Amino acid sequence: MIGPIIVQTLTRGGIYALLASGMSLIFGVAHIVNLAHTAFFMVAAYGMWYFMREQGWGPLESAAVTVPIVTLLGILVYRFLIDRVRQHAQVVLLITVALAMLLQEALLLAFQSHYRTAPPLIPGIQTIFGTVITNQQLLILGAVAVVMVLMWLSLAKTKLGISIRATAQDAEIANLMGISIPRTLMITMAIGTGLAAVAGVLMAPVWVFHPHIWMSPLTMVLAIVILGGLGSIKGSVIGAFIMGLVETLVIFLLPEQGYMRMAFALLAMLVILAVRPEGLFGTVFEEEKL
Amino acid sequence: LRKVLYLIIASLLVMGLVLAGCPSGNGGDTVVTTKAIPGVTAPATGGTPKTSITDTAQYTGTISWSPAHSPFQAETAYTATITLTAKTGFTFTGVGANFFTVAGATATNPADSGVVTAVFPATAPAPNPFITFAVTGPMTFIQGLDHWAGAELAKDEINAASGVNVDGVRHDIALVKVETNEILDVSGVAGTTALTAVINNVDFVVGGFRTEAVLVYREVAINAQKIMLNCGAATRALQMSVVTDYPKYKYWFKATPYNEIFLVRSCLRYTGVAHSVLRATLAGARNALSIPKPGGGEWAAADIEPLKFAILMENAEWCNPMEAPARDTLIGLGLQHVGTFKCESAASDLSTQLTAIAAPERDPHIVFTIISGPPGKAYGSQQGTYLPKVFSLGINVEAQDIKYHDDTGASYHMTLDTWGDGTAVTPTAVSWFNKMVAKTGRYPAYTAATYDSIYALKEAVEAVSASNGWDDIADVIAPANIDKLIQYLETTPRLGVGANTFYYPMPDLDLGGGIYALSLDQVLALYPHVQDLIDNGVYSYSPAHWTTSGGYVAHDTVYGPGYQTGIAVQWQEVGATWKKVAVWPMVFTNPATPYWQLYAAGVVDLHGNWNFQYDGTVALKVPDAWIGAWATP
Repeated sequence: MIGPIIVQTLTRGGIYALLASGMSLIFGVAHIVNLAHTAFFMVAAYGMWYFMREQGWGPLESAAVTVPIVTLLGILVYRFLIDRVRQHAQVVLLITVALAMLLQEALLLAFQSHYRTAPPLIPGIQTIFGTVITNQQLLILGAVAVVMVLMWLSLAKTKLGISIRATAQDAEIANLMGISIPRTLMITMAIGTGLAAVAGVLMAPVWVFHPHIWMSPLTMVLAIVILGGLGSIKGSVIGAFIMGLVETLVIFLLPEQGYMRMAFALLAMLVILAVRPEGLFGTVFEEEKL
Repeated sequence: LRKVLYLIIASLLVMGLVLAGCPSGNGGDTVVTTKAIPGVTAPATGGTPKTSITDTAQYTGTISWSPAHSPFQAETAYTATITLTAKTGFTFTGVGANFFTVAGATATNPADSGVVTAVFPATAPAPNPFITFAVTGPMTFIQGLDHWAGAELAKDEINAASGVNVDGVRHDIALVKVETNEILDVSGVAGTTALTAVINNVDFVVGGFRTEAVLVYREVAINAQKIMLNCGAATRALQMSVVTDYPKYKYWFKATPYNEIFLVRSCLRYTGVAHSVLRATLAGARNALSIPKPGGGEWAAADIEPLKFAILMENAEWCNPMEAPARDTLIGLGLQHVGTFKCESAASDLSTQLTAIAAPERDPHIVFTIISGPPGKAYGSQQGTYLPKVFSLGINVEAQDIKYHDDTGASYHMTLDTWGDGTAVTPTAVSWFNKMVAKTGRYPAYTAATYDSIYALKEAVEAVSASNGWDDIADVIAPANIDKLIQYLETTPRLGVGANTFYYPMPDLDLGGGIYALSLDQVLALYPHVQDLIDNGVYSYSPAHWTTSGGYVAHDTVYGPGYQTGIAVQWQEVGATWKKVAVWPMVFTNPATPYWQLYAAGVVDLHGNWNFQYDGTVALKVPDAWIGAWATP
């Protein structure tokens, strides 16, 4: 049974990692809790379904159109809605929730509540440790790895990455050093939304989605971001796999309580936070105050 | 001389001023030239009369109507007397006779006059009064869409024919859509708010889907003393309130489906048949492959090892009561239970559950599903990948959808259903089914039974109004009179497109402890064959067999052959197209056998003889992949 548990933990955790890393990046740099993050993910999933199923496009063309559109949507939202109020966290929360609900209603209007699935980007299955894993899930795992490496490289090795990290550490000082804070934040928002879009593109063939699907992963993604330490991408990725492991264990070992997988995962998060209130890789609150 | 000249000029100025101040005569004003009098709206039944025209540059005007009704009444010819007043610089002197015109009327006026008489044609007859149905459901989901589509088809047919004859007065059907959002808002708050907003303007309520929400928002209809026909929420508990508090809940009826007790019975009945077919198929395959049987001889179904099954269900009110009876009955049939897997009712991905089911220590032959919504679709998409060796049956509401196979690739999945492609569950079912497919592009879900419900209420209203001389729907549904309508529904079976729908009566017997039972007389009134079973000594009546906890609840739909049986459908390739076709009920034993002799075998039960099939039923197919996976012991 260990083989299937490992495989399922990796695939489930990979999905969460992809979603949580974008949200964590935006929070870490701009201090914005973007509750519309999973709505962008949902829009991207719909984009893949629409282009592939309804328009008959191939997976690459569909992804090549979907990801930029959703990223552009994120940029516009930041520029015209969030940027003006980003100093007021409560207003940002309300605006992003309202935006998510607007996107939900727009999709509802356009496509009704039918349950949708997109065709896999890479059809087929593999058997690993005696466990079936779809090529799509392998693609997701590969994509998570590539995205994480690219993010690390761009944050650590590029001028843009230095600007982003400087802004995350102290925006005022970064500004005095000649870094354009509005531009940096907008690029960060674009990267975060782009990650949500990539997650949507990859998940469209795996999940059954509908216009309300954004709500369910949002709770989990928020929990992962908090568990990993607010703003820590590394923490989010590790947190995602921890949550994936807890969920998988519940389903395998307590199948009749499988519907409580999220409750168990959230309980695990609370236990970890009780020991490390700042999360796995977050800033110690006392230090922050000083 | 200069003084005289000044005097003359001053006199001329004074004369000029005086003349300028005098009323203008015919010679100084312009004759009105605007013929069309604007702003005189033609009378329409129910409209409000206008009292002034729209001002023009040349005149204003007032309107008086004869007869002086407000609002305008039906089938009445009205005459407008329009009194025009010329603006400064204009005059009616010089206007010819019958100069003015009024849109939609014959206008006359005397010469040199601004008084115009406009005679309009008679107003239209009054529209037929309406009988208004609130249709409640999750209107952006399949269930609600089909609540609405079924109701709309009934409305269109009835209105295109002769409407509803309320003691000689034609009434038309009107529908009000009530978005309850009950798939997402199981609290019923959205439904309560939406139904409250319209309840005073409707005569009946049909619809409902999610038990948890319906339990809450149906109170709006009950408190308003409006009859509600539930077309979607299965749970028996909804009808128990009729038994325990009849004066309050007598307005509540279940049109479809039958309750969870009977859902399980039908599911297990068809699962038992499928189990026999699977075992027989395996035996045949092993013989064909010349696989030696331990002890020698040919393989028979009885020689096949016990098949293993897992239950996959969502955690929902309608599913939970089914798990234990399903598990116990299947174990009783000789199957081995390898686990029950519960997911959330909104689960979008079942890959982990299916992987857990496929683990070597479980590895079942059969997955018995009790699912709807996203888990149903996810199962269809993922079963072939993670559980390619299982045969899927049970209830999967999403498998009723016309796109189930195309969207998910699922093949040979079975589910309990109400209608199948080409299945004559009643004489009108197939033509109605095809009409619904043409109208919506979908196979109708069971919630489309709003169609039958509206027809049932139409017939009830017609019968009750005729026998009591009430020619207004308001009289028929008045609190003082509505018991007549309730009594009609309670006592009159109706053969619709889904079934012969009839309701269990209020139980005669109180067994104590909140359990009630049907008396023998009540049983025989519904199931006359039970007398044969008693006469032939194969059955003895006991109230314990007919209790409310056994599913026999007042105002719940009667279950069994001749009433509602449901059907099992399977996705099969018919020609080049995958279709949802009926495979159960099926004739599987010699029909010539005296039917009561089949009681011991379970083919005949207290609800009737199940050894029958509807026209259009086909043979159950076992997929080659399943046979290949299990042919070798």
